[in-house]
Amino acid sequence: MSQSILASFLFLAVAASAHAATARLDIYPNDVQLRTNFARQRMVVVATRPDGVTEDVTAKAKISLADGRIARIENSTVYPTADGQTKLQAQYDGQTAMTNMDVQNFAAARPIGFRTDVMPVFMRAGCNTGACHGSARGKDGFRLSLFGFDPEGDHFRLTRELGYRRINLAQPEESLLVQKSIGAVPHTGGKRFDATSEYAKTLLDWLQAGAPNDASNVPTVESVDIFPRELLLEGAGVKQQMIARAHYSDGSQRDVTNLAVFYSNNDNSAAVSPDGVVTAANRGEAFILARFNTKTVGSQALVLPAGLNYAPPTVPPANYIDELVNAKLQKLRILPSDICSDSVFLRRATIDITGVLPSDEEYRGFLDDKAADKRAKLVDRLLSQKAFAEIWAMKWAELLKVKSNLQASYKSIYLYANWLTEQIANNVPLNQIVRQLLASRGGTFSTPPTNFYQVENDTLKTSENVAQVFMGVRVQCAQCHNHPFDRWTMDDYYSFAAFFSQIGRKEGEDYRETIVFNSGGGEVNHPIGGRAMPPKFLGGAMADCNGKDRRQVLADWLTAPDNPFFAPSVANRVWAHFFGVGIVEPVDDIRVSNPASNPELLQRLGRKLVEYNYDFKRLVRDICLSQTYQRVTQTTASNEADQRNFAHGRVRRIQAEMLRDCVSEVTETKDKFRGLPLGARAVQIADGSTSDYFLETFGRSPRETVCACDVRSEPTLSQALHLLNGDTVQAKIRDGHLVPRLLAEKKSPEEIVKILYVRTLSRDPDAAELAALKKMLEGQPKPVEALEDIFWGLLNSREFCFNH
Amino acid sequence: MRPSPRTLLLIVLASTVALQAAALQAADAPKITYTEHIQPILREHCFACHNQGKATNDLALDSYERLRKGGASGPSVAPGDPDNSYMLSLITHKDQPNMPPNSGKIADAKIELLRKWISAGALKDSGSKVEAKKPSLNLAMKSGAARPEGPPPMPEHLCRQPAVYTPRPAAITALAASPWAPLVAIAGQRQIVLYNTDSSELVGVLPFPEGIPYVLRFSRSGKLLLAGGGKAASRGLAVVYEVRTGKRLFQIGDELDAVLAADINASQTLVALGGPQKVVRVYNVADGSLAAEIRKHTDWITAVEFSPDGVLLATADRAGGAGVWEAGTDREFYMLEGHKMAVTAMSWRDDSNVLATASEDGAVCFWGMENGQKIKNINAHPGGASTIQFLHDGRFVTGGRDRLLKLWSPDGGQIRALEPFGELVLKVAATHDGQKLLGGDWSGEVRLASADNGKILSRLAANPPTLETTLQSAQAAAAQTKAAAEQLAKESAAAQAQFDAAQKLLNDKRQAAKTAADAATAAAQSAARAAAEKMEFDKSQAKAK
Repeated sequence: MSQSILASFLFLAVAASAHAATARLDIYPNDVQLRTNFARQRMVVVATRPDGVTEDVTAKAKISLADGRIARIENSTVYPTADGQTKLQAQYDGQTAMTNMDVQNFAAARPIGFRTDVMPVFMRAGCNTGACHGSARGKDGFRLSLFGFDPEGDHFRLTRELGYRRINLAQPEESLLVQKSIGAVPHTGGKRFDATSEYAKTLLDWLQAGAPNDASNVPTVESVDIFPRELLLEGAGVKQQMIARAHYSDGSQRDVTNLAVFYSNNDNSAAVSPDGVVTAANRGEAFILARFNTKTVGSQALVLPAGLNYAPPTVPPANYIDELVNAKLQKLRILPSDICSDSVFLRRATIDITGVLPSDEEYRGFLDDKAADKRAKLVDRLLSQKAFAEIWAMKWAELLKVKSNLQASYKSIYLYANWLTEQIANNVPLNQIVRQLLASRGGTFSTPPTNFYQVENDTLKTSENVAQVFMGVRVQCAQCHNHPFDRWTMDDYYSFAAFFSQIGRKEGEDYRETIVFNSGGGEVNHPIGGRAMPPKFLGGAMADCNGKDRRQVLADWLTAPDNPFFAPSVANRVWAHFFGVGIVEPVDDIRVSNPASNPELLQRLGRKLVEYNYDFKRLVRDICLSQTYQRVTQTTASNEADQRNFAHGRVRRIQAEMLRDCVSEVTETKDKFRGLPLGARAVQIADGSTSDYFLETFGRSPRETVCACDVRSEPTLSQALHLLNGDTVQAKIRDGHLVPRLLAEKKSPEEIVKILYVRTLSRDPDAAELAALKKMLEGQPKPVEALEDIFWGLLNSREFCFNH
Repeated sequence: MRPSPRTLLLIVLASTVALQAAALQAADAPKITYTEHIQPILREHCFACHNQGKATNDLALDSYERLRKGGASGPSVAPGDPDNSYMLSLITHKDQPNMPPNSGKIADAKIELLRKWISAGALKDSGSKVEAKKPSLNLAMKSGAARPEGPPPMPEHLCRQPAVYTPRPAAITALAASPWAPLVAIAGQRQIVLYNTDSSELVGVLPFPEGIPYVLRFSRSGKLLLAGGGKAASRGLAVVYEVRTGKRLFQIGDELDAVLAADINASQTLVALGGPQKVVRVYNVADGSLAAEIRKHTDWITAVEFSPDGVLLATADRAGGAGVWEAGTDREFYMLEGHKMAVTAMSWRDDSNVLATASEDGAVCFWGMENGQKIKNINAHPGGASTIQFLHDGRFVTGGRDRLLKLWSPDGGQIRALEPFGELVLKVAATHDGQKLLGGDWSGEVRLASADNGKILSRLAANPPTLETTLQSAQAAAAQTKAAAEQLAKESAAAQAQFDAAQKLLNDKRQAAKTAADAATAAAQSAARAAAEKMEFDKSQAKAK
């Protein structure tokens, strides 16, 4: 009896949720301008439920025009029929949405253009991709520029390169260009579109017009919109039609849904068809991208399983970081893991902030502390230590390629590293440090920041490095063609490199020193056509460099508070140090097709950094005091699949230098590195070329490139073997004499075991461990060896080598 | 006033001196020699690396004999031919490696001196004589392919209905002039269009239903026309027509892509063809069997031609490779190395001793069949040369991306260029008598021009109208002229009537005038008689008193 009541209750509950009310209705785009008889616009209507779930209701909604003479609707697409203005209304489930429509010159014809109409067909049909005719040698002698970066050359190659072959102006439908695309003759690339498609028609229209080239001033694409901008799809198989719209330099709009290339960065969660239909699959998030011309834009798509039971957590956030992280987790309906214990927090924070392990006293002291704000006090204490500055100086040194070689002498590199450490230790704001680096001039001995221009001499490479290190942007691809997945064009690339084309270098009196100065002359030429490119900020306006040192102009722009690139990318790197993964990952690959997992968080951290006057120590404090940082690494059923949204902590292997320092610290041994006194720590090593077997095996950055990926943390067999058999662990245990000393102090083996555990793992052994080890120690004639074996075992454990 | 003897003497002396000076100048025109003029230049810029002790690249320039011997890249100078002197092209930076390396260019005046020295024969010292020039292109021409007996092969009463009419012609893919008759064949859409070059009249249309012909060749006798082509990426073959009757005699080959190059040998026993499949196939005409396959080419076959004497077959490809083979076999005779970019066309000279190749690098090269070496290199069409054709007398005609059709003398000097076409020139030909030139361009225009003065005589349509259209327009023209004639006849009749009326009036008036004049005369006569009688009467009266 009760079962049937329960069943009917559940049925009602399910039925109720199936007809949940619509909280709002949106129609996209919400303003439409149609010009000429060629214009049309596809419309999409989206209903949003109170819980945020979105649904494509275009087919179900009632769509009507206020003035039916202005336009007509067919297959969700609006076509102009008369000049005038009207409104398009959508009605669904008690909600309405409106779009303003404006039609002008509807009877005017629009002649077909090569750049406006034919080139997009090549992009959409995949003709000019790198796997096909866009490759460096083309296919069987027919080359198109990759993604269309050279329309003039493409026109020549199509029409006149082999004047007898590719087009036929007498019988356009017989042109090989058309015949191969529609699959009428064998084509290794396959059939690209139907003979009846609009793509074939575009090519034929163009051929019938005589395959004309464009006049000189063709309107260019200024921006592209993608709608809807956010999707929250519930249930596998749910669909959403996307639309893309382009804005041209002559003020016109164009529906390019049929010409844009759609792709998803995570097909496992949401795949998108070539026509822009998104289909939800497994739970997760995806970014749906549309590329048209040189613009790439994207929408975030979150996929939830149907029938999910979720109640948001009620713990209030500790700070703005938690607010923003929790907001994303809520969207994903993921529950975060619990906050970690004191001992875990102590070890984690000590390693992350100072690169060493807490001592026995620190451990006991922290655990015994009863103050409510002891974690905050701990963080402040750790931040005040010099080790913090040394770690960050080392991290920046990795990015700045601080390494002596044939080009850069040991002395100048040594001075460079010391200067960097000093700046950070003295809390010089980061933007000032960067400004000093970029605009530096003088000798590499007397003015260490000039070393920035000694470690890299090539103009193009220098500009690539500046973009990657300080803006987190990789423009390398755009050297040879427009970037395939991002907004950067060859023009952007070369006009940014122009900032670095006037750097003069000469030998100082001491042959090891280089003098860096502004030479005042020198240009960068665009490889197509050879024109000199005036300096233009990446993603910004033209720069006024008249009579100025171009690097100074760039430095001022980059480090200005309103610069949209610098602060977020630095904040992202800081974040990645504490979480093992950035909000954008990789941290130096910020691009449209690699979006931030939490864009609001990234922007907020960037603004905070600016607010703190680029004192990133304060940002670190915010991070370490957030709940997000303090979550345990153990996952729950709700968040076990999450890798990018910080629902739980991450197990991270300790970086090579810090691991070395930890080993030296717990064994009480001293290391000698070049240029440093005995007992200095590995994080203090100035020169990238100073290394040893341990450091290299554990992935010390070779500092050959500016990529953050140069620091390696993957596990290798060599690492395991070295810890097991190598001389670092064994020798240090032996040379440190810790165990004999403790035994001499009359400590019992059990006490020593506890001390070793606290030292290495920052915790006491639990009962089972203690029992097993006691058993092992019993009956040992030489407790030294047994204890040292235990010590060795601890140093070889994953719990020691990893930050967890 | 006569000049004083002193003045006279001065004048004479002055003129003598002047004469002597002139004579001195004439005798003194200095010979540019290696020992006196060239060695100092080379010493300053070149000896450091190119001396007998250090001979970089095996080249020593510090001795005249070693200089003439050349180095690892070949001879450094070609006496009398500065354009083909390797040393000059390196120091003018026309070719790589620029010489001297890592330095600026040598001063223009010095380069000019070197050029003059080479032009004058690269003399060693003032006692040297100019060497006899090596045999070059300018041999007296003996006709290699003999004129056949009988009347020039012309089509007789061929149908002129086009297979396809298109309002706009496509780019001219092939153009061929008969070697012995005033006939030109133009490739069109699924047809070959034949014109009489003397009258510019359309004399026939040969259907080519397999697609578009990409190569047209008359046999050496002029009696057959070979058309190679097909449908791009689909099918290719060669078809042979009899010129006189327009009959399709046979077809040969079955390629997977259109045939781009084809030829039939002089004895009409072999047909060679090739295209994007990169293989040249030679077939026996008798039974259509495959005689040989040449697989050495690495890119599309762009040109294929049997030598006029039928001994050799020359082939070329889109990667710049060119070779000469024993006709009917795949045995290599020469590989012609030198073109860096695609070879677009080839032509044999009538004596079978010289083969010309045209390339996208803009050059036209001539290869001698004694040793397969390049004889000459002309930068004919900067940007790309598309086509070349020898005339019977050794002149040749070329066309290129610079939109020009050029006529050249047998030794490689440009005679003239036609006024530029609207688009790049794709194909050229010359009529059998060498009097007219033909050129086809990318826009589909075909011009017939005079070889003597370059004047355009007519334009030949590659897309002639249908017979219906021709009939209609002819009928319309006839009706129009008939109407005009009738109108004129009417007007003439009216004019005649007017004339007749005026004539009658004139006659009437004349008659009236004559009558009046006669009456006046009679009256005057009677008056005179009366006067005379009165005078006589009066006289007699006076006498009587």
